[in-house]
Parts: sequence; C-alpha cells; structure tokens
Amino acid sequence: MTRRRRLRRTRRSFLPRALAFATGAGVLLGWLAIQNGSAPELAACADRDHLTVAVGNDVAGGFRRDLVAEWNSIGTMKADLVEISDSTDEVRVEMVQAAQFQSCAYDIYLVDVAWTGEFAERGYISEIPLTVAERARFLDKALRTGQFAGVQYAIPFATDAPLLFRRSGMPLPENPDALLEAARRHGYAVQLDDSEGGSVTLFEALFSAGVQVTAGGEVVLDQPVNAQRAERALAGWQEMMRSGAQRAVGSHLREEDSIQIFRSGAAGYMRNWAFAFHRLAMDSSMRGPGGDLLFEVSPLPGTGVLGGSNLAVAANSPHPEEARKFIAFLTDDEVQKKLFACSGYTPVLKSVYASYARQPETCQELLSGTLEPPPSDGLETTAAELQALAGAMHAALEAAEPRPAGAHYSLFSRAFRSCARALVLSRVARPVDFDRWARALREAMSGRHVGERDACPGGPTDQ
Amino acid sequence: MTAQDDEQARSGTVKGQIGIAVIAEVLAGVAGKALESVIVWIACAAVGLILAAGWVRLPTRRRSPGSAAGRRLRRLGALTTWPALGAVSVLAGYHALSPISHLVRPQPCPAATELHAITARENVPALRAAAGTFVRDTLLGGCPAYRVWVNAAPSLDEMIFGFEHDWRRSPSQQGTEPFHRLNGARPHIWIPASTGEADYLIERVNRARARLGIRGSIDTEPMVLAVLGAVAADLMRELGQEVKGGGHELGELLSVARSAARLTVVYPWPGLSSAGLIAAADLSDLDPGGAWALSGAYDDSVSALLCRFLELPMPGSAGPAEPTGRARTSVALVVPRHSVSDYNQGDLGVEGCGGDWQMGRDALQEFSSPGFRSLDYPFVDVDWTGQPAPQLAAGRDAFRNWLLRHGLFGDQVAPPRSGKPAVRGSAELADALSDVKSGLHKINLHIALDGTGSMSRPPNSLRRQVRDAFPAVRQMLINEDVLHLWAFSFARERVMLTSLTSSASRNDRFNDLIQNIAGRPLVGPEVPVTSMIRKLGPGSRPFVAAVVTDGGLFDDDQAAETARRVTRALAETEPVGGVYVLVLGDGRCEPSLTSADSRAGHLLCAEAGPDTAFALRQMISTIREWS
Repeated sequence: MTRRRRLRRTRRSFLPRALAFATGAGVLLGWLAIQNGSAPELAACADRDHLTVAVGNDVAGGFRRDLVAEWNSIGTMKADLVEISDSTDEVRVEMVQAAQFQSCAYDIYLVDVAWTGEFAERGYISEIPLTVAERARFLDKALRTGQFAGVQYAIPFATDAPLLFRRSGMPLPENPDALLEAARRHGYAVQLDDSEGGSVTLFEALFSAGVQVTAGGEVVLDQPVNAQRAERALAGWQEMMRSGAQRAVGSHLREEDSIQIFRSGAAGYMRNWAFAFHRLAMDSSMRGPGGDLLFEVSPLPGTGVLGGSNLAVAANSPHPEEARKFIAFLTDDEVQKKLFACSGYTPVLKSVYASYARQPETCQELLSGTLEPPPSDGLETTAAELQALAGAMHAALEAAEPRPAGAHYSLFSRAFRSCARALVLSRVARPVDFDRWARALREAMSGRHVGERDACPGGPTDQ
Repeated sequence: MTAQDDEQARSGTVKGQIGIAVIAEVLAGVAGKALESVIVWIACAAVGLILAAGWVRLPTRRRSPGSAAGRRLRRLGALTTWPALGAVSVLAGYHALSPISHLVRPQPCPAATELHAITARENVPALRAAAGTFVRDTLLGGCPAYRVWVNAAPSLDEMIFGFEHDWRRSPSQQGTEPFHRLNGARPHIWIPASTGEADYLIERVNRARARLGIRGSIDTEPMVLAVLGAVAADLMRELGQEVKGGGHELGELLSVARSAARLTVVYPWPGLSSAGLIAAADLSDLDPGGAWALSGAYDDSVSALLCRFLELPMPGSAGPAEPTGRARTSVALVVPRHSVSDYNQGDLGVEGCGGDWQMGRDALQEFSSPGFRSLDYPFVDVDWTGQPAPQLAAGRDAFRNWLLRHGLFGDQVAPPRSGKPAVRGSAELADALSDVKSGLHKINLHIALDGTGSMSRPPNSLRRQVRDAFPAVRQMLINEDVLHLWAFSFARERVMLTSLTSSASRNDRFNDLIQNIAGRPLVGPEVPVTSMIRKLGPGSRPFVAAVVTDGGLFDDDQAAETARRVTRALAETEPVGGVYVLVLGDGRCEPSLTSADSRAGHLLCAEAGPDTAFALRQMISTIREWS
C-alpha cells in the first residue's frame, strides 16, 4: 500500500468518525446548555374557577380592592385578592414558598421590582409576550424592571421614584451636596433603618455621587474611581448624620416614621415615595388657612432608585390567558389614572403623564358615575396639586436608576447595607476596606452567605 | 433525683442521639459526594488516556466478515461508538473543568429551601439569631442550603381560625368584597411557649387545613416577676428568706409586691399572649376568684408590654398620656426570664421601641419563685394540605435537630433550677383563661362612628382601617360584653342617628358589626360630641360611649371648650357612664380632653397613631376599668 493510498484511506475513515464524534459532543453540549439556561418547570395546577392574586397589604388604602370588584363585574373570570402582610419579607416568603413547594395557591403575583429577576430565573413566573404597540405604552424604565435575560416576565403595575419634600419656605437644594448642607441645618427625615428602605437610601447616596456599585452584572465598587467617590460620599453622609439637627431626627426611620417626623416639623426636609404626598395632602394640619399646602415637592437631587411593583403570572397557573387579561385591565389607561388620583400609585403609562400635563382630573371626577363615588366634603387633592405631583414624578423617574438585579438580590442588598450603614452611622470617621466590601458583595451576588462582620469589619452583628 | 432531673437527663440523651444521627447523615452526604467525584475523575482520566493515546482502533470494515446480521451489528457499532465517545468526552471535560471554572469565578448558588417559622413576638430576636447561626452552620460550598424567616405568631384564637381556614384572618368573609387577608406568610414551623399551649391549640382545631405535630422541647426557662431596679431594694427588704432551691413563695412575693411596695402586677393579655396566659394561670392558682384578672394588660405580647412599660413616666417627670396614669415605679411585670435579659440589653426587637433606654436607670431586676411554671418551647411541625415537599421536611428536620443541640436562647438564660414544677397543661390554661374572663367587669359599649365622608375618603379610608383592625378586639371581649354600632351625621339641621348593628357580642353578630364599620359614607358636616351623647342618652341600661372619629368634630371655633361641654353633657345624660374619643389617622385630640381631670371623670381622648388594633385594645381595656 502506497503512502498516498494510506493517507487517502485514513482521511476517508477519519471524516465520518470526526463527524460522529462531533455530533455526540454537540448533542450533549446542547442538552447541558438547555439544562443550565432553563428554569425548572413547575407542574401545572388543577383547574379552579377564579384567579387568586397574591399581594402585600395596601399602604395606600384599599382602592385596589375596588378595582378588583370592578373587574369582577366585567371580566370573564372573577379574581380574588389575597393580602398577605404589611411586611415585604413575609409577602416574598409566602410567594416563594407557594412557588417552591408548588402549592398552586396563586395565579398572579404582585412582586416588588427588586424580586422580578429572582422569580424569573427560578422559573416561578412565566413569560408575558407583548406586541410592539403594547410595549410603547409603558415608560421604558418601568417596563425594563419586568424583564430578565431579555424576556418580559412581568408587567409594571406601579412605578416609583424618590421625591424630596420640603416645608414651605425651605430653600430647594439644587444638588446632593446642597441637600446634605440643608439637612445639617434643618433636619432630614430619611430612611436609614436596617431594612430595604435603608439600602435604597444608601444606593441613592452613592449613585448621586457618580459611584457605580455594579456594571454589567459585576461588582465594580472597588475600582479606584468608584472607591474614591464612595468614600467621599459616605463621609459627607456621616457628617450630616452627626449634626445636631439630624441627631434630633434619628437614624432608624422607615417611610411611615418619616412622615410623622416631617409632619411634626422636626425635620425641614423628607425623602419619601409618592404615596407620602397624598398622606400629607389629606392632613388638614399640612394646609394653611386658605387651603394651600404647607409643603412643596420636587425630584430628589441626584440619582434616585427606581421602586414599584410588577404583575407576573405564576408558572403553574391553570389560567395564564385569563391572568394576562386581568393584568391588562389593571394597566389600562383609565385604571392607572384612578390609581394615581385616588390611591397614590405612580402610573406606569406615558399617556397618564401626558394627560395630567394637559388636563388633570381629580379622584372625584374620575369616579363620578361609578357605584360608589368618594365623598366630596372638603379636603381633596386638587387637580393642580395632582398635576404638580405628576410632573415631579415624571422628572424623578427620568433620573432614577434600578437596583442591581439578580436572583440573590436580597443577600446582596443586606451585604451592601450592613457596611454602608455602619459607616454612615459611625460616630467616628473610619477607613473603608473597599476590597473586602466588594469581595463580600460578589459572594452575596452569587448567593453565598456573607456574615455582616465579614462584609464590613466592626459592622452590626450578624443575624 | 427528681422527676424533672430524670426528664432533663432523658432529654439530654435524646438530644445526644439526634446529634449523632445528624453527624452521621452529614458524613454520609460528604462521603457520597466524595465518591461521586472520585468516579467522575476516574472516568475523566480514562477518557483522557484514550484520547491521548491517539487513534483508537475501533470496529471497521476490515475485521472478520461474518454473517450479514453481524455486519449490520458492527456497522451499528461503528455508527454509535464515535458519538458516544464524543458525549463522554464532553461530560468528562465538563466535570474536569468545572472545579477550575469555579475557582476562577464562583458559580451562582442554587435557590435555598426557604422555611418560615413563627413564635411569640418576644422570642423572635432569639429565634432569628438561632436561625442565622443554623444557616451559617449548614452552608454547602459557601451556599446557604436553607433560609429561615422568623416572624411573630398571631394570637391563639387567630391561629385556630387560620389553621382551619388556610391561614386566613378572621372573619374569613369580607362581605361581598373580593379579598382575603392572611395572618402573614403560611408557617411551617411554630415555636409556642409551652407544650400545654400547643396541645390547647391542637385540641381546638377542627377541619384542619394543616397537620400539626409536636416534636420535642428546644429550651426551657421560668417566668419571673420583674421590677425597676429602684423598686427592687424596697421589695427585697420586705421579703422574707428565700425558699430551699432559690426564689420566694409566689403568694408572699405577690402579696408583698402589691401591699407593701404598692405595685400593680401586670402581664400581657392572656387572650392574645401565651406568656400572658401562663402568667394568668400561675396567678389564678393563688386567687381562683379572679381578683388578679384586671392585671392582664391589653398588650398582645411581652415585648409590647415591656415597650409600653418603658414609655411610662418616672415619678415626677412629664410622660406621655397613658390611660392608666401609672408610673414606671408602680408596676411589676410577670414575664419570661429571657425577656428581662433582652430588656436589660436594650433590645426588645420592636420597631420604634427602646430608643430612650438608659443603662442603670431603666434596668429591671427579676424575682424568681418556684410557684412560677416553666416554659418549654416545643418545636411544632406544620404541614399544609396540598404542599407535599420533601425538601421542606428535610430542611425543617435539620433546623429542629440543630435547635435541639443548641437551644433557643444559647447561654442567655440560666437553666431552671431543679425542683421546678412542670409546664402548664392545656386544661389548666383553658381554666385560667376562663378564670380571668370571669373576673372581668362586663361592658355595655355604644360605638359612635363618625359617619361623614372624611372617614371614608381615599386613599386612606379610616373606616376601612378600623374594619381591618377590629377583629383584634374580639380576644379582649368576654361573652357577656355587648356592643352597639351607630353612625352619626347632620341632615336637614338635625343630628341623624343610624343604627348599623345592635347588641352584638363576642359570639353573636360580631362579624356583621365588622362588616358594617366600612359601610357607605353619610353626607353632611361633623356632629359635635355633645350632640352625640345627648342623642345616644335615652336608654334603660348604663353604658359607655366610644366616639371613633378622624378629629373633624373638634374643628370648630369652640374646640377648647369641648371638655367642659362634654362633661356637662355627661352629667345631664345619666345612662352614659363615660366617653372615650378615639382619633384616627393624622387627626389630633383636643388638648382639654387629654387632661388627668378628664380621665378621672371618665372622659378621655386618645390618638390611635399607626397601630389601630393596639388603639382599639387600649380603648376596650380602659372602658372595662370604667365599667
């Protein structure tokens, strides 16, 4: 056999073998990719004759119940709200357990924007396809909070961005530094409790100073430029918290406590969400003799954090189509207007902002003609006040940024807060070990347990 | 050796056996993982060797010709061998490279199994701390295998209803409105204060949507009497010698506290707090007639009681208005021992509480007694129908075994002394609750609801807030209490009185009354309190009026005169024995109605603040004292 013939024969036998080898390898690689990329499938639930909607308790009153009653009078399948708790932790754990243990308790979840990625990645919720025209109705930022890996898993129900409330006569701070200066002088009711509200405030403090905590899903807080800016920002906050005016306000406030402090006059400024506007506007002590509001509202100077909640369909719901119709009802133009004017929810539709810029309507006007119109005996948020609020909210949303997304956001948030909060509330200036902090954040981002002492030496005790 | 020592020894042996079982389980898991890795590495090495050896001589055409069937088989072999080898290579490579890729960049952790545990509010900080350590002790490759959420348990009555109704809050029907409220997230673990409490609940749950199983005690501690340090020395002087084994006779301790030191002995309301129920059982042993019944405060937990205690004024200082008018030095508390320790560390685990706590000035000192029974903190499994989840059961078992080894309170609480009486049984607790209730004054209460539109205005309908909070009142009521609900408004220059619910009681029409609270709003301006009293006045039986308003009825030019005018109206309207004005939302009391003089004359105004349920319980408790 010549060398040439041997070579030809070897080539002839090599090609099919290589092809077969590659086919086997390819099939397994494809299977592995699918296994890694797809969430576990939940078994479908038995049929039932109504939709159940898991929600937290309504801090803005009970208007959601009225909307569900309205849906039940026109919808093809009745819906039943299940109000779980005031505590966001309890709301999340109930929803997660329902999905994790496949209890079939719920068809629709009203999830915080911070949990949407987690629920999608774990396969607890199913995709909600939207047409181009449907997408175009929503504010882009709000719509993106319902996406994960480029797929729309949830539809925004209410969005939110922080507002700065100031008592009438107080100067408007033009930037974050001016706000800290004003806070030192007049007191600032800001949420710094050891809860998610505290994380949001601290993210805002860093974002407003131009700090990137994460970029492209990676922690970049320890990059020199970010570390320098963060150190300066946290030092400014620490100094503000040690000022006499701020010591009187306290450092353990949540949203509700902040309203009480601001209302009492102990603080000249307050950072809060839009619902606080309605709370204050309905309080006769916050209006002057002529009925004018005794406070003003504007977007928070700097960069706020995007809040809000999304509606998602449970992956094992036996009625996904009906659930999507119900979600479409709650995100209808008129319903979103009512939620804004009557209940303080921030709208997610561009049309509502356009409408309020052009021709604002009060709750009374929107509900006239319904079965149970609200009372009209005096105190009501006026059309002009709603117009000002809508304008401030729109501007605040433009400047807001989302929190870092991910399946382990709650661990990440805790690791971030434990260190940032310890630094801001420290009585003495402390050096910051950004390498250690960033390492802890990376661990938390991948779902690894981080003791609070590990994240920030000398921080609060691990719980 | 006493029976308790025997029991402790047995408990220790059981804990030891469980500990060994857990260690064996963990070792088996580790061994299994190790074996799996060894097999995968051997496979990797074998495939690597084959590939490294170069071209493998696999079945080809030139081997033995044989039969047609044999040739087909060989052709099939030739067709399948190479794809199989490709797949094995990928698998081997995947396993071989993944540890390296993990080193370069940690892979995300899988979702941890999430468990939800409930316990009395005063135990929440301890159980959360234990859960945190458990999660850290059970990490797998740095990833949490479990996450344990701990929250406060509802009252026993609410839990009984919840376990029968898929964890819904009572009342389960909300009229025609399309919503249900839960008692929070459904629990899978319950840590009651005592086995007697667990038995009490299990015996009363019918048509259960959940199965409950008591799985052993995770810690024990006694109840104690706690007083402010400044008072403790006086009490100590009056007390005789300690009994053998430590502490004082309960009868002597309470008698000295009440008579010599002039202290009011209080504990949380037994209908809402299991520690309060156990305290009531201990006290009712001394006085079966129920004279101690009024000592039950309206707080729903030991934490809430201690928090309110901290807000009481010191003698001579200006403190917040408190319906009882008590000072901190005049109160002795019956609470679990660990709560005294938590309080003395300034950590009550209640939001917004303890901010002004000062070491020394505010510290409590405990007095023990063999007459106080123990709390044994059993671990109770809760299995909901339709949630068969093996990973849940495994996680719960792991947490229980961990708690059995480490306890709930760690070293914070000294173990109970030998010779302590056993825990209270379920029958004793039921008797105690019955004793407490039999000792209470019955109330005849007319609730005058401000029916005007401002109470129903969105976004925060105050009537809805009251409706949602009103179920908390049920546990404060005894069977003989009678409630009437009225709405007031002005129409055509006259005060209009609308009866919404009449003669409701704890067991009859109570849910109707709740539904009617959030009925349709009325129209017209506010009705002054004096007009309400005069309108309610005519009636055969004495009663107390509770005016529930948003404060609008004080918005007139003569607000400062309100107290004087109401006092006059009270005097002129004989059946009305007192007026309690509850101001909801952001409304304010008219100052003249909050003075001590007003209180003495059974006229009081209280601002509800953010916790409407607490405000309603406080209202019922105060009115009962007036009745």
